[in-house]
Amino acid sequence: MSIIAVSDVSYKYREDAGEAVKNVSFEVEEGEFLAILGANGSGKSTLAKLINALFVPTSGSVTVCGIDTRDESRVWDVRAACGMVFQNPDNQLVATIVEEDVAFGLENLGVAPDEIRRRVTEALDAVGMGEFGKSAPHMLSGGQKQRVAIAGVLAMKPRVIVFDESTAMLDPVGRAEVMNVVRRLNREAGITVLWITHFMDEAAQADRILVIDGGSLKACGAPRDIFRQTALLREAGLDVPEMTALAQALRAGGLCLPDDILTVDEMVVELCRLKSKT
Amino acid sequence: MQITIGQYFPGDSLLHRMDPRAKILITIALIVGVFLADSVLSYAAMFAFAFAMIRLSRISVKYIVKGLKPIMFIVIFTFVINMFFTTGGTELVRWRFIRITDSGVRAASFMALRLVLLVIVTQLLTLTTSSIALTDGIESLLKPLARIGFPAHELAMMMSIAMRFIPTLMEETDKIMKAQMARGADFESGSLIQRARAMLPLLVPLFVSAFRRADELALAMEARCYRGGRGRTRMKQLRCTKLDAAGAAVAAALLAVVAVL
Repeated sequence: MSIIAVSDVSYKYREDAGEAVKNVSFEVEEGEFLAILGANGSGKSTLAKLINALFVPTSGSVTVCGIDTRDESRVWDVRAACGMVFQNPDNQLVATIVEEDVAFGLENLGVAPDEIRRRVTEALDAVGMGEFGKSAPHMLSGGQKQRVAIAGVLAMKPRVIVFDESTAMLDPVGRAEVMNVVRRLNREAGITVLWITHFMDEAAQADRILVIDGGSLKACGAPRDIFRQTALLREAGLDVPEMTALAQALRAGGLCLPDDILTVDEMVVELCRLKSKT
Repeated sequence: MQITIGQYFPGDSLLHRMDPRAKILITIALIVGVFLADSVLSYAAMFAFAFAMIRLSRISVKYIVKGLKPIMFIVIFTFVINMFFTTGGTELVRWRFIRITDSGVRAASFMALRLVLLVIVTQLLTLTTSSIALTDGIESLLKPLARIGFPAHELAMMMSIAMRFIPTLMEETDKIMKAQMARGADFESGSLIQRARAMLPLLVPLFVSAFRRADELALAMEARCYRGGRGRTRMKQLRCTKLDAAGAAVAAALLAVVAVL
C-alpha cells in the first residue's frame, strides 16, 4: 500500500474564496523521493500543509500511513508520522539552544528523558550537526539552522518528511548542505521525501516529479519525461533546465541530440559523441 | 553601555551546577534578608556572603561591579533623597534650608547598600543560570499553581520563545534601520522628540514581521505536535542534589544571623 494517498482533494482557505488546490490526486510509495514543482502561488505549499493535517481538505481525502487526516482524534499520529520542514529557518526553531530545539518534538510526544537525550544526539549526528548541540540557533548559518530543523523532525522518527521550499532562503552552499543531508536520509534511512520547490535542479534529483499550476496537477512522471515537455513547464511559470533548453535549440538547428539532456556533463558526452561521428 | 543583568555567563562552578529552583528560592530568601538587615553588622554579613558567592561562581568581581554601573545613578539619587529628607537624630550640618542628621546619613547609606546588594544577588542568579534553566525553574516552581488555573507552562514557554527571538528581532531592526538610512532616514540627529518620531516608521515593519513570524512559528510548533503542557516530558530533568540542600542551609543560616543582628 502507498504511504500517502491523496484522492480528489480540493481546498479553499475561505468559504467564498477560490480553490487553492483543485481535484488533486496522487500516491506516494514508501521510500520515494518525490518533488512537487510549481511557481509561486501555484498551491504547492497548501498541498504540503494538507499532507500533515495542518489543513484538512474541503473535499476529497488525504491518507497518511493509513490514517485519514480528517480523523481529528489521530491528528497527532499523522504529524508524528509525517514531519515537516518549513521555508524560513528562523521561524521554526523554538528553543535558545540547538539540542533543546531538537528535543522539542519528542518532549511534545511525551518520550522518556533518557530516550530523548539518545535520539537528539543521534538526529544531530545524522545531519552532521553533532558538535553544535550547545550552540544558540542565531549563531548558526542558514544551512546549519535548516539542518537543525531537519534534526528536530528526524528525532521524532517520521516515515515521511515534507520539505516546504526549505532551501528557498538559503545561499548556494546552504542549499547544497541541506540537499545532501536529505538525499542521504532518503537513501540510507529509507525516509519518504516530499520535496516542494521551484528550483529545477533540485527537482531533477527526485525519483518522480509532480507539476502543479493554478492548484491542479498538470503532469507527473520521471524528471526526464517532465523536463522534455518544455511548453508545459513554461505554461506553469517554471524555467526549463538550461541544458534541456540548449539541447532543444540545437535539435531545432538540425543537430542530432536527445531531447532529455539535463546536466552539463550529459551535454558534453553527447556533443563529443556527435563530434566523433563526423 | 554594557548591561550584565539578565545575561548568562557560561561556566561550570558550584553555583552554575545548582538546581535553578534552589537558586531562585535562595535568591528570594536573600532579597528578604536584604530588607531585614538593619545594622552595620548584618550588612557586613550580607556583603561577606555576596562576596563569597561571587568567588564561588568564578566570575570576576570586576565583571559584577561593571554590572552595577547602570544603576549607579539610581543609587546616588536615593542616597541623596534619603539623606536630605530623613528627620530625627542629631544634626550634623545645617546650611540654610539643608539639614543633614546622623540618622539621615545612616538611612541613606543603608538604602544605597540595599540596592547594591539586590543587584549583586539577582545578577548572580542570571549570570550563573541559562535562560532555559531559569524558565524551567520558574515553570517547576509555579506548577502547584497550575491546579488553580495558573498558566505556568504557557508562561514559561512564552518566556523562552521571547528570549529565543530577541537576537532575531535585533538583527531585523538593524536591517530595517539600514534600509531606511539608505533611503535618507535620520535616526541620529535632532531633538529627543524628533528622534523618537523617526523611530516610528521602524516600528511598523518590525511589528508586521513579528506577527508574521509568530504565525509561522505557531504552525511549525503544531507540525511538531505541540499541544500545550499536558503530557509533555522534558529532556533535561531538574534534580535537587546535596549541593542545593547545602546552599539552602547556608542561606537560611545567613537569614537567621541577619534577623538577629
